Amino acid sequence: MKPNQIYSKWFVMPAFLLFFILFLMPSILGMYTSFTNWNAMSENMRFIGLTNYVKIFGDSAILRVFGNNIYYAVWTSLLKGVFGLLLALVLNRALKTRNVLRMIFFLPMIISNLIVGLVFQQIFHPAHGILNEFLKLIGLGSLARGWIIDPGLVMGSSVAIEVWKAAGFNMVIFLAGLQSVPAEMYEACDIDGGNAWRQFVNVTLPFILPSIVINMLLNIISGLKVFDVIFALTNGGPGRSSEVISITIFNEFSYGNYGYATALSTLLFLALSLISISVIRFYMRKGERAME
Amino acid sequence: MKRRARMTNLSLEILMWLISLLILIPLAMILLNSVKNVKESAIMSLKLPTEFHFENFSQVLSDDKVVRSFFNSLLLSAGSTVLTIVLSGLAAYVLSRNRSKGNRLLYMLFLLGLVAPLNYITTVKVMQLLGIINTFGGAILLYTALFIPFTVFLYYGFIGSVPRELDEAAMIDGCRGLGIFFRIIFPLLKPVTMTALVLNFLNCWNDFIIPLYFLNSSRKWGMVMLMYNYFSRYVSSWNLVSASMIVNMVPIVLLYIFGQKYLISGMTAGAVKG
Repeated sequence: MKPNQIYSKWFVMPAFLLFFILFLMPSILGMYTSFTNWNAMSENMRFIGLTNYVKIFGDSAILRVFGNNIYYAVWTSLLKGVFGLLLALVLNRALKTRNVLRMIFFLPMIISNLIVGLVFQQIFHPAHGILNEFLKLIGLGSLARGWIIDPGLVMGSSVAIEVWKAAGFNMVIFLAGLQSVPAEMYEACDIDGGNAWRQFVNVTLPFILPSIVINMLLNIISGLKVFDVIFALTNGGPGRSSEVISITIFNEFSYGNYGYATALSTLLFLALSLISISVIRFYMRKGERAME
Repeated sequence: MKRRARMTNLSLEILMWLISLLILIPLAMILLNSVKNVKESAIMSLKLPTEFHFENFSQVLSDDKVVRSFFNSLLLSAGSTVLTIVLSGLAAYVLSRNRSKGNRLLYMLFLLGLVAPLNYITTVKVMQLLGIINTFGGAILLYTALFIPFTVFLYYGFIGSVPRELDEAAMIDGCRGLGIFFRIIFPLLKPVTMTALVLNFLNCWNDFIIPLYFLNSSRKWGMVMLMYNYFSRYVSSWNLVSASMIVNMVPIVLLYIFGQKYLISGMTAGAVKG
Protein backbone atom coordinates (compact mmCIF):
# COMPACT_ATOMS: atom_id res chain seq x y z
CA MET A 1 0.00 0.00 0.00
CA LYS A 2 1.29 3.46 -0.87
CA PRO A 3 2.06 5.90 1.93
CA ASN A 4 -0.59 8.37 0.79
CA GLN A 5 -3.22 5.67 1.26
CA ILE A 6 -2.34 4.91 4.89
CA TYR A 7 -1.36 8.46 5.71
CA SER A 8 -4.34 10.07 4.06
CA LYS A 9 -4.17 13.83 3.61
CA TRP A 10 -7.77 13.95 4.79
CA PHE A 11 -6.49 13.37 8.32
CA VAL A 12 -4.59 16.67 8.14
CA MET A 13 -7.58 18.57 6.81
CA PRO A 14 -9.72 19.08 9.95
CA ALA A 15 -6.79 20.70 11.79
CA PHE A 16 -5.62 22.63 8.75
CA LEU A 17 -9.05 23.91 7.73
CA LEU A 18 -9.80 25.15 11.22
CA PHE A 19 -6.39 26.81 11.40
CA PHE A 20 -6.85 28.24 7.91
CA ILE A 21 -10.37 29.60 8.38
CA LEU A 22 -9.86 31.15 11.80
CA PHE A 23 -6.21 32.13 11.60
CA LEU A 24 -4.55 32.35 8.18
CA MET A 25 -7.55 33.58 6.22
CA PRO A 26 -8.31 36.46 8.63
CA SER A 27 -4.67 37.53 8.36
CA ILE A 28 -4.83 37.54 4.56
CA LEU A 29 -8.21 39.28 4.69
CA GLY A 30 -6.68 41.85 7.03
CA MET A 31 -4.02 42.66 4.46
CA TYR A 32 -6.82 43.49 2.04
CA THR A 33 -8.92 45.51 4.49
CA SER A 34 -5.85 47.51 5.49
CA PHE A 35 -6.16 49.22 2.08
CA THR A 36 -9.79 50.18 2.71
CA ASN A 37 -11.71 52.67 4.81
CA TRP A 38 -13.67 49.85 6.51
CA ASN A 39 -15.30 51.25 9.64
CA ALA A 40 -18.27 50.86 11.94
CA MET A 41 -20.04 54.01 10.68
CA SER A 42 -20.58 53.35 7.01
CA GLU A 43 -21.96 50.36 5.14
CA ASN A 44 -19.77 50.37 2.07
CA MET A 45 -16.08 49.58 2.24
CA ARG A 46 -13.98 51.64 -0.15
CA PHE A 47 -10.50 50.98 -1.48
CA ILE A 48 -8.27 53.85 -0.36
CA GLY A 49 -4.81 52.56 -1.29
CA LEU A 50 -2.00 53.30 1.12
CA THR A 51 -3.89 56.00 3.04
CA ASN A 52 -3.95 54.01 6.31
CA TYR A 53 -0.23 53.29 6.11
CA VAL A 54 0.60 56.88 5.24
CA LYS A 55 -1.46 57.93 8.26
CA ILE A 56 0.37 55.47 10.52
CA PHE A 57 3.87 56.51 9.48
CA GLY A 58 3.00 60.20 9.49
CA ASP A 59 1.61 60.10 13.04
CA SER A 60 4.29 60.80 15.62
CA ALA A 61 2.05 59.42 18.39
CA ILE A 62 1.92 56.04 16.63
CA LEU A 63 5.64 56.10 16.01
CA ARG A 64 6.09 56.59 19.76
CA VAL A 65 3.85 53.54 20.29
CA PHE A 66 6.19 51.56 18.00
CA GLY A 67 9.09 52.92 20.01
CA ASN A 68 7.49 51.78 23.28
CA ASN A 69 6.92 48.34 21.84
CA ILE A 70 10.49 48.00 20.59
CA TYR A 71 11.89 49.31 23.88
CA TYR A 72 9.78 46.74 25.71
CA ALA A 73 10.74 43.87 23.39
CA VAL A 74 14.48 44.60 23.51
CA TRP A 75 14.81 45.24 27.24
CA THR A 76 12.59 42.35 28.35
CA SER A 77 14.49 40.02 26.02
CA LEU A 78 17.89 40.98 27.37
CA LEU A 79 16.93 41.08 31.05
CA LYS A 80 14.87 37.87 30.97
CA GLY A 81 17.84 36.22 29.28
CA VAL A 82 20.44 37.49 31.75
CA PHE A 83 18.41 36.74 34.89
CA GLY A 84 17.23 33.42 33.46
CA LEU A 85 20.80 32.39 32.77
CA LEU A 86 22.03 33.42 36.24
CA LEU A 87 19.20 31.49 37.89
CA ALA A 88 19.90 28.45 35.71
CA LEU A 89 23.64 28.47 36.43
CA VAL A 90 23.03 28.59 40.18
CA LEU A 91 20.14 26.11 40.22
CA ASN A 92 22.13 23.67 38.09
CA ARG A 93 24.50 23.21 41.06
CA ALA A 94 23.95 20.60 43.73
CA LEU A 95 21.82 22.76 46.03
CA LYS A 96 19.65 20.86 48.51
CA THR A 97 16.44 22.72 47.76
CA ARG A 98 17.03 23.38 44.08
CA ASN A 99 13.85 21.67 42.92
CA VAL A 100 11.66 23.79 45.19
CA LEU A 101 13.54 26.92 44.12
CA ARG A 102 13.13 26.08 40.43
CA MET A 103 9.42 25.59 41.03
CA ILE A 104 9.09 28.97 42.77
CA PHE A 105 10.97 30.87 40.06
CA PHE A 106 8.79 29.32 37.37
CA LEU A 107 5.55 29.91 39.29
CA PRO A 108 4.72 33.40 37.89
CA MET A 109 4.55 31.91 34.38
CA ILE A 110 1.33 30.09 35.18
CA ILE A 111 -0.52 33.03 36.70
CA SER A 112 -3.02 34.92 34.58
CA ASN A 113 -1.56 38.12 33.11
CA LEU A 114 -4.62 39.98 34.34
CA ILE A 115 -3.85 39.08 37.96
CA VAL A 116 -0.20 40.01 37.47
CA GLY A 117 -1.17 43.40 36.02
CA LEU A 118 -3.68 44.21 38.74
CA VAL A 119 -1.43 43.13 41.61
CA PHE A 120 1.54 45.14 40.33
CA GLN A 121 -0.72 48.13 39.89
CA GLN A 122 -1.09 47.97 43.69
CA ILE A 123 2.58 47.22 44.38
CA PHE A 124 3.66 50.23 42.28
CA HIS A 125 0.93 52.48 43.71
CA PRO A 126 2.60 55.87 44.29
CA ALA A 127 0.90 56.66 47.60
CA HIS A 128 0.66 53.35 49.42
CA GLY A 129 2.21 50.67 47.20
CA ILE A 130 4.50 48.27 49.04
CA LEU A 131 7.48 49.14 46.83
CA ASN A 132 7.57 52.77 47.94
CA GLU A 133 6.68 51.76 51.52
CA PHE A 134 9.63 49.37 51.52
CA LEU A 135 12.01 52.02 50.18
CA LYS A 136 10.91 54.41 52.94
CA LEU A 137 11.31 51.64 55.54
CA ILE A 138 14.95 51.03 54.67
CA GLY A 139 15.67 54.76 54.57
CA LEU A 140 15.72 55.12 50.79
CA GLY A 141 12.51 57.12 50.71
CA SER A 142 14.15 59.53 48.29
CA LEU A 143 14.09 56.75 45.69
CA ALA A 144 10.30 56.38 45.93
CA ARG A 145 8.78 57.18 42.56
CA GLY A 146 5.47 57.25 40.74
CA TRP A 147 6.41 53.99 39.05
CA ILE A 148 3.36 53.73 36.85
CA ILE A 149 2.09 57.32 36.85
CA ASP A 150 5.35 58.91 35.74
CA PRO A 151 5.43 58.83 31.91
CA GLY A 152 9.21 58.47 32.03
CA LEU A 153 9.14 55.39 34.26
CA VAL A 154 6.06 53.46 33.24
CA MET A 155 7.70 51.50 30.40
CA GLY A 156 10.57 50.55 32.69
CA SER A 157 8.10 49.32 35.30
CA SER A 158 6.29 47.27 32.65
CA VAL A 159 9.60 45.71 31.64
CA ALA A 160 10.31 44.85 35.28
CA ILE A 161 6.98 43.03 35.59
CA GLU A 162 7.65 40.94 32.50
CA VAL A 163 11.11 40.05 33.81
CA TRP A 164 9.49 39.06 37.13
CA LYS A 165 7.03 36.89 35.27
CA ALA A 166 9.14 35.21 32.62
CA ALA A 167 12.78 35.04 33.78
CA GLY A 168 11.81 31.60 35.11
CA PHE A 169 10.81 30.49 31.63
CA ASN A 170 14.24 31.46 30.28
CA MET A 171 15.75 29.65 33.26
CA VAL A 172 13.94 26.42 32.39
CA ILE A 173 15.20 26.53 28.80
CA PHE A 174 18.76 27.28 29.94
CA LEU A 175 18.58 24.45 32.49
CA ALA A 176 17.62 22.04 29.72
CA GLY A 177 20.51 23.40 27.63
CA LEU A 178 22.97 23.01 30.49
CA GLN A 179 22.21 19.28 30.62
CA SER A 180 23.93 18.96 27.25
CA VAL A 181 27.31 20.05 28.66
CA PRO A 182 29.36 16.87 29.31
CA ALA A 183 30.70 16.75 32.89
CA GLU A 184 34.15 15.67 31.60
CA MET A 185 34.49 19.04 29.94
CA TYR A 186 34.35 20.78 33.30
CA GLU A 187 36.87 18.35 34.76
CA ALA A 188 39.23 18.91 31.84
CA CYS A 189 38.92 22.64 32.37
CA ASP A 190 39.57 22.22 36.12
CA ILE A 191 42.77 20.28 35.41
CA ASP A 192 43.90 22.99 33.03
CA GLY A 193 43.43 25.39 35.93
CA GLY A 194 40.70 27.47 34.32
CA ASN A 195 38.81 29.81 36.63
CA ALA A 196 35.03 30.00 36.78
CA TRP A 197 34.77 32.73 34.15
CA ARG A 198 37.07 30.96 31.67
CA GLN A 199 35.14 27.75 32.29
CA PHE A 200 31.89 29.55 31.50
CA VAL A 201 33.20 31.15 28.33
CA ASN A 202 35.12 28.16 26.98
CA VAL A 203 32.95 25.24 28.07
CA THR A 204 29.41 26.28 28.98
CA LEU A 205 28.75 29.03 26.47
CA PRO A 206 29.33 27.01 23.26
CA PHE A 207 26.97 24.29 24.49
CA ILE A 208 24.14 26.63 25.48
CA LEU A 209 24.34 28.77 22.36
CA PRO A 210 21.17 27.16 20.87
CA SER A 211 19.29 27.91 24.14
CA ILE A 212 20.40 31.53 23.96
CA VAL A 213 19.21 31.82 20.36
CA ILE A 214 15.79 30.29 21.02
CA ASN A 215 15.28 32.25 24.25
CA MET A 216 16.02 35.52 22.49
CA LEU A 217 13.73 34.66 19.57
CA LEU A 218 10.84 33.67 21.85
CA ASN A 219 11.44 36.73 24.06
CA ILE A 220 11.37 39.13 21.11
CA ILE A 221 8.20 37.52 19.78
CA SER A 222 6.33 37.72 23.08
CA GLY A 223 7.68 41.23 23.63
CA LEU A 224 6.28 42.45 20.31
CA LYS A 225 2.93 40.77 20.96
CA VAL A 226 2.52 42.12 24.52
CA PHE A 227 -1.00 43.16 25.42
CA ASP A 228 -2.72 41.97 28.57
CA VAL A 229 -0.25 42.80 31.35
CA ILE A 230 0.03 46.42 30.20
CA PHE A 231 -3.70 46.57 29.46
CA ALA A 232 -4.44 45.59 33.06
CA LEU A 233 -1.62 47.68 34.54
CA THR A 234 -2.15 51.08 32.88
CA ASN A 235 -4.25 50.52 29.75
CA GLY A 236 -1.51 52.40 27.92
CA GLY A 237 -1.46 55.39 30.24
CA PRO A 238 -0.69 57.87 31.64
CA GLY A 239 -1.67 59.56 28.38
CA ARG A 240 -0.27 57.21 25.79
CA SER A 241 3.11 56.77 27.46
CA SER A 242 2.87 52.98 27.89
CA GLU A 243 0.79 52.23 24.83
CA VAL A 244 1.95 49.30 22.70
CA ILE A 245 0.74 48.21 19.25
CA SER A 246 -1.74 45.59 20.47
CA ILE A 247 -3.38 48.15 22.77
CA THR A 248 -3.68 50.65 19.88
CA ILE A 249 -5.26 47.92 17.75
CA PHE A 250 -7.77 47.15 20.49
CA ASN A 251 -8.62 50.84 20.98
CA GLU A 252 -9.03 51.47 17.26
CA PHE A 253 -11.25 48.37 17.12
CA SER A 254 -13.40 49.86 19.88
CA TYR A 255 -13.66 53.16 18.01
CA GLY A 256 -14.75 51.23 14.92
CA ASN A 257 -11.74 52.19 12.76
CA TYR A 258 -11.42 48.67 11.37
CA GLY A 259 -9.44 49.43 8.21
CA TYR A 260 -6.86 51.45 10.12
CA ALA A 261 -6.65 48.82 12.89
CA THR A 262 -6.11 46.01 10.39
CA ALA A 263 -3.26 48.04 8.83
CA LEU A 264 -1.58 48.02 12.24
CA SER A 265 -2.32 44.29 12.63
CA THR A 266 -0.81 43.64 9.23
CA LEU A 267 2.40 45.48 10.15
CA LEU A 268 2.67 43.43 13.32
CA PHE A 269 1.96 40.25 11.34
CA LEU A 270 4.69 41.06 8.81
CA ALA A 271 7.25 41.91 11.49
CA LEU A 272 6.57 38.68 13.36
CA SER A 273 6.47 36.61 10.17
CA LEU A 274 9.97 37.82 9.32
CA ILE A 275 11.12 36.69 12.74
CA SER A 276 9.24 33.43 12.38
CA ILE A 277 11.28 32.57 9.29
CA SER A 278 14.35 32.34 11.51
CA VAL A 279 12.37 30.29 14.04
CA ILE A 280 11.22 27.90 11.32
CA ARG A 281 14.80 27.60 10.04
CA PHE A 282 15.94 26.82 13.58
CA TYR A 283 13.37 24.08 14.07
CA MET A 284 13.65 22.63 10.57
CA ARG A 285 17.44 22.33 10.90
CA LYS A 286 16.93 20.59 14.22
CA GLY A 287 14.35 18.27 12.68
CA GLU A 288 16.79 17.38 9.92
CA ARG A 289 19.53 16.64 12.43
CA ALA A 290 17.17 14.52 14.54
CA MET A 291 16.30 12.49 11.44
CA GLU A 292 19.93 11.56 10.75
CA MET B 1 38.44 22.06 48.12
CA LYS B 2 35.26 20.02 48.69
CA ARG B 3 34.54 22.01 51.82
CA ARG B 4 34.83 25.25 49.92
CA ALA B 5 32.38 24.05 47.27
CA ARG B 6 29.91 23.12 50.00
CA MET B 7 30.20 26.54 51.57
CA THR B 8 29.68 28.23 48.20
CA ASN B 9 26.59 26.13 47.59
CA LEU B 10 25.18 26.91 51.01
CA SER B 11 25.61 30.65 50.60
CA LEU B 12 24.17 30.50 47.09
CA GLU B 13 21.20 28.61 48.48
CA ILE B 14 20.56 31.29 51.08
CA LEU B 15 20.91 33.98 48.44
CA MET B 16 18.42 32.18 46.19
CA TRP B 17 15.86 31.96 48.96
CA LEU B 18 16.23 35.70 49.57
CA ILE B 19 15.69 36.38 45.87
CA SER B 20 12.70 34.03 45.81
CA LEU B 21 10.98 36.50 48.16
CA LEU B 22 10.58 38.75 45.13
CA ILE B 23 8.32 36.10 43.64
CA LEU B 24 6.62 35.05 46.86
CA ILE B 25 5.77 38.45 48.37
CA PRO B 26 3.30 39.56 45.66
CA LEU B 27 1.58 36.19 45.92
CA ALA B 28 1.50 36.36 49.72
CA MET B 29 -0.05 39.78 49.37
CA ILE B 30 -3.01 38.32 47.46
CA LEU B 31 -3.44 35.62 50.10
CA LEU B 32 -3.31 38.07 53.02
CA ASN B 33 -5.75 40.49 51.46
CA SER B 34 -8.24 37.78 50.62
CA VAL B 35 -8.97 37.31 54.33
CA LYS B 36 -9.11 40.94 55.43
CA ASN B 37 -12.16 43.08 55.92
CA VAL B 38 -13.04 45.78 53.39
CA LYS B 39 -11.45 48.60 55.34
CA GLU B 40 -8.09 46.90 55.87
CA SER B 41 -7.90 45.68 52.30
CA ALA B 42 -8.64 49.09 50.81
CA ILE B 43 -4.89 49.49 50.67
CA MET B 44 -3.21 46.36 49.42
CA SER B 45 -0.34 45.82 51.80
CA LEU B 46 1.61 43.12 53.59
CA LYS B 47 0.18 43.99 57.02
CA LEU B 48 -1.32 41.00 58.77
CA PRO B 49 -5.10 41.12 59.09
CA THR B 50 -6.39 41.95 62.58
CA GLU B 51 -8.89 39.13 62.22
CA PHE B 52 -9.36 36.50 59.54
CA HIS B 53 -12.43 36.86 57.33
CA PHE B 54 -12.72 33.54 55.56
CA GLU B 55 -16.31 34.45 54.75
CA ASN B 56 -14.89 36.50 51.85
CA PHE B 57 -14.54 33.20 50.07
CA SER B 58 -18.06 32.09 50.84
CA GLN B 59 -19.30 35.47 49.68
CA VAL B 60 -17.41 35.12 46.39
CA LEU B 61 -18.44 31.51 45.92
CA SER B 62 -22.10 32.23 46.69
CA ASP B 63 -22.18 34.72 43.83
CA ASP B 64 -23.99 32.91 41.01
CA LYS B 65 -21.89 34.78 38.49
CA VAL B 66 -18.65 33.43 39.93
CA VAL B 67 -19.89 29.85 39.91
CA ARG B 68 -21.21 30.20 36.39
CA SER B 69 -18.00 31.76 35.08
CA PHE B 70 -15.96 29.05 36.79
CA PHE B 71 -17.87 26.41 34.86
CA ASN B 72 -17.70 28.50 31.68
CA SER B 73 -13.90 28.50 32.00
CA LEU B 74 -13.96 24.76 32.59
CA LEU B 75 -16.13 24.20 29.51
CA LEU B 76 -13.99 26.42 27.25
CA SER B 77 -10.70 25.00 28.51
CA ALA B 78 -11.72 21.33 28.45
CA GLY B 79 -13.53 21.62 25.11
CA SER B 80 -10.71 23.36 23.26
CA THR B 81 -8.03 21.17 24.86
CA VAL B 82 -9.68 17.90 23.82
CA LEU B 83 -10.48 19.10 20.31
CA THR B 84 -6.94 20.47 19.86
CA ILE B 85 -5.36 17.18 20.96
CA VAL B 86 -7.45 14.98 18.67
CA LEU B 87 -7.08 17.16 15.55
CA SER B 88 -3.39 18.02 16.07
CA GLY B 89 -2.30 14.46 16.88
CA LEU B 90 -3.92 13.11 13.75
CA ALA B 91 -2.53 15.89 11.54
CA ALA B 92 0.99 15.60 12.97
CA TYR B 93 0.92 11.82 12.47
CA VAL B 94 0.32 12.17 8.74
CA LEU B 95 2.66 15.15 8.33
CA SER B 96 5.47 13.32 10.09
CA ARG B 97 4.98 9.96 8.31
CA ASN B 98 4.49 11.23 4.78
CA ARG B 99 6.89 14.08 4.19
CA SER B 100 5.78 14.95 0.69
CA LYS B 101 6.34 18.44 -0.68
CA GLY B 102 2.73 19.43 0.00
CA ASN B 103 2.86 18.16 3.55
CA ARG B 104 6.08 20.00 4.26
CA LEU B 105 4.42 23.20 3.09
CA LEU B 106 1.44 22.59 5.40
CA TYR B 107 3.82 21.98 8.31
CA MET B 108 5.61 25.26 7.56
CA LEU B 109 2.30 27.12 7.58
CA PHE B 110 1.53 25.58 10.96
CA LEU B 111 4.94 26.77 12.20
CA LEU B 112 4.10 30.27 10.96
CA GLY B 113 1.04 30.14 13.22
CA LEU B 114 3.42 29.44 16.12
CA VAL B 115 4.74 32.99 15.89
CA ALA B 116 2.41 35.25 13.92
CA PRO B 117 -0.29 37.14 15.81
CA LEU B 118 -3.99 36.62 15.20
CA ASN B 119 -5.74 39.43 13.35
CA TYR B 120 -8.55 39.81 15.86
CA ILE B 121 -10.66 42.25 13.88
CA THR B 122 -10.99 40.25 10.67
CA THR B 123 -11.43 37.10 12.76
CA VAL B 124 -14.41 38.76 14.46
CA LYS B 125 -15.81 39.42 10.98
CA VAL B 126 -15.24 35.83 9.80
CA MET B 127 -16.91 34.48 12.91
CA GLN B 128 -19.86 36.82 12.42
CA LEU B 129 -20.26 35.54 8.85
CA LEU B 130 -20.14 31.95 10.09
CA GLY B 131 -22.69 32.81 12.77
CA ILE B 132 -20.48 31.53 15.59
CA ILE B 133 -19.55 34.84 17.21
CA ASN B 134 -20.41 35.13 20.89
CA THR B 135 -21.08 31.39 21.26
CA PHE B 136 -19.26 28.77 23.33
CA GLY B 137 -18.85 26.61 20.22
CA GLY B 138 -17.27 29.48 18.31
CA ALA B 139 -14.92 30.34 21.17
CA ILE B 140 -13.85 26.68 21.48
CA LEU B 141 -13.17 26.49 17.73
CA LEU B 142 -11.14 29.69 17.86
CA TYR B 143 -9.03 28.56 20.83
CA THR B 144 -8.48 25.27 19.01
CA ALA B 145 -7.32 27.09 15.87
CA LEU B 146 -4.89 29.08 18.02
CA PHE B 147 -3.53 26.03 19.89
CA ILE B 148 -3.21 23.75 16.85
CA PRO B 149 0.18 25.06 15.59
CA PHE B 150 2.06 24.46 18.81
CA THR B 151 0.35 21.14 19.48
CA VAL B 152 1.07 19.88 15.95
CA PHE B 153 4.68 20.92 16.51
CA LEU B 154 4.83 18.96 19.79
CA TYR B 155 3.35 15.79 18.31
CA TYR B 156 5.39 16.03 15.12
CA GLY B 157 8.64 15.90 17.06
CA PHE B 158 7.56 12.89 19.10
CA ILE B 159 5.95 10.78 16.37
CA GLY B 160 9.33 10.57 14.62
CA SER B 161 10.47 8.32 17.47
CA VAL B 162 7.52 5.91 17.14
CA PRO B 163 8.61 3.07 14.81
CA ARG B 164 6.90 2.95 11.43
CA GLU B 165 6.81 -0.86 11.64
CA LEU B 166 3.94 -0.49 14.13
CA ASP B 167 1.76 1.03 11.39
CA GLU B 168 2.53 -1.86 9.08
CA ALA B 169 1.96 -4.49 11.78
CA ALA B 170 -1.39 -2.87 12.60
CA MET B 171 -2.37 -3.02 8.94
CA ILE B 172 -1.50 -6.70 8.66
CA ASP B 173 -3.69 -7.27 11.74
CA GLY B 174 -6.55 -5.68 9.83
CA CYS B 175 -6.54 -2.16 11.27
CA ARG B 176 -7.63 0.44 8.75
CA GLY B 177 -7.68 4.19 8.37
CA LEU B 178 -8.26 6.07 11.59
CA GLY B 179 -8.07 2.84 13.60
CA ILE B 180 -4.30 2.62 13.12
CA PHE B 181 -3.83 6.04 14.65
CA PHE B 182 -6.38 5.97 17.43
CA ARG B 183 -5.95 2.35 18.57
CA ILE B 184 -2.23 1.79 18.05
CA ILE B 185 -0.30 5.08 17.81
CA PHE B 186 -2.27 7.54 19.95
CA PRO B 187 -1.86 5.52 23.20
CA LEU B 188 1.91 5.58 22.66
CA LEU B 189 1.90 9.38 22.49
CA LYS B 190 0.70 9.73 26.07
CA PRO B 191 3.62 11.90 27.30
CA VAL B 192 2.99 14.50 24.58
CA THR B 193 -0.75 14.27 25.07
CA MET B 194 -0.29 15.06 28.77
CA THR B 195 1.96 17.99 27.90
CA ALA B 196 -0.53 19.33 25.35
CA LEU B 197 -3.32 18.89 27.85
CA VAL B 198 -1.63 20.81 30.67
CA LEU B 199 -0.30 23.58 28.44
CA ASN B 200 -3.44 24.23 26.41
CA PHE B 201 -5.72 24.01 29.43
CA LEU B 202 -3.54 26.55 31.22
CA ASN B 203 -3.41 28.94 28.26
CA CYS B 204 -7.15 28.80 27.76
CA TRP B 205 -7.92 29.20 31.46
CA ASN B 206 -5.70 32.29 31.73
CA ASP B 207 -6.69 33.87 28.42
CA PHE B 208 -8.07 37.35 28.57
CA ILE B 209 -7.96 38.58 24.98
CA ILE B 210 -10.45 36.26 23.24
CA PRO B 211 -13.35 37.11 25.57
CA LEU B 212 -12.45 40.79 25.25
CA TYR B 213 -12.95 40.65 21.48
CA PHE B 214 -15.31 37.72 21.01
CA LEU B 215 -17.60 37.16 23.99
CA ASN B 216 -19.73 40.22 24.62
CA SER B 217 -22.32 38.50 26.71
CA SER B 218 -21.29 38.46 30.36
CA ARG B 219 -23.19 35.21 30.87
CA LYS B 220 -20.55 33.50 28.75
CA TRP B 221 -17.51 34.99 30.47
CA GLY B 222 -14.88 32.79 32.07
CA MET B 223 -13.21 33.41 35.43
CA VAL B 224 -10.57 35.85 34.20
CA MET B 225 -13.09 38.14 32.57
CA LEU B 226 -15.32 38.04 35.61
CA MET B 227 -12.36 38.94 37.79
CA TYR B 228 -11.74 42.00 35.63
CA ASN B 229 -15.38 42.91 36.09
CA TYR B 230 -15.09 42.35 39.86
CA PHE B 231 -12.12 44.65 39.90
CA SER B 232 -14.00 47.48 38.22
CA ARG B 233 -17.13 46.90 40.29
CA TYR B 234 -15.51 46.50 43.74
CA VAL B 235 -12.65 48.82 43.03
CA SER B 236 -11.83 49.38 46.68
CA SER B 237 -12.88 45.95 47.96
CA TRP B 238 -9.55 44.29 47.41
CA ASN B 239 -10.54 41.53 49.81
CA LEU B 240 -13.22 40.27 47.40
CA VAL B 241 -11.04 40.83 44.35
CA SER B 242 -8.20 38.93 46.02
CA ALA B 243 -10.50 36.09 47.03
CA SER B 244 -11.73 35.79 43.45
CA MET B 245 -8.10 35.74 42.27
CA ILE B 246 -7.41 32.83 44.61
CA VAL B 247 -10.48 30.95 43.36
CA ASN B 248 -9.18 31.49 39.84
CA MET B 249 -5.66 30.32 40.68
CA VAL B 250 -6.51 27.15 42.62
CA PRO B 251 -7.17 24.92 39.57
CA ILE B 252 -4.07 26.07 37.70
CA VAL B 253 -1.79 25.78 40.74
CA LEU B 254 -3.06 22.21 41.24
CA LEU B 255 -2.47 21.55 37.55
CA TYR B 256 1.04 22.99 37.94
CA ILE B 257 1.89 20.87 40.97
CA PHE B 258 0.66 17.61 39.44
CA GLY B 259 1.60 18.31 35.84
CA GLN B 260 4.85 20.19 36.34
CA LYS B 261 6.91 17.54 34.56
CA TYR B 262 4.70 17.71 31.46
CA LEU B 263 4.46 21.48 31.52
CA ILE B 264 8.23 21.98 31.60
CA SER B 265 8.90 19.34 28.95
CA GLY B 266 6.36 21.02 26.69
CA MET B 267 7.82 24.46 27.15
CA THR B 268 11.36 23.29 26.47
CA ALA B 269 10.33 20.97 23.61
CA GLY B 270 12.32 21.62 20.50
CA ALA B 271 14.06 24.56 22.10
CA VAL B 272 17.12 22.62 23.16
CA LYS B 273 16.66 18.95 22.42
CA GLY B 274 17.37 17.38 19.05
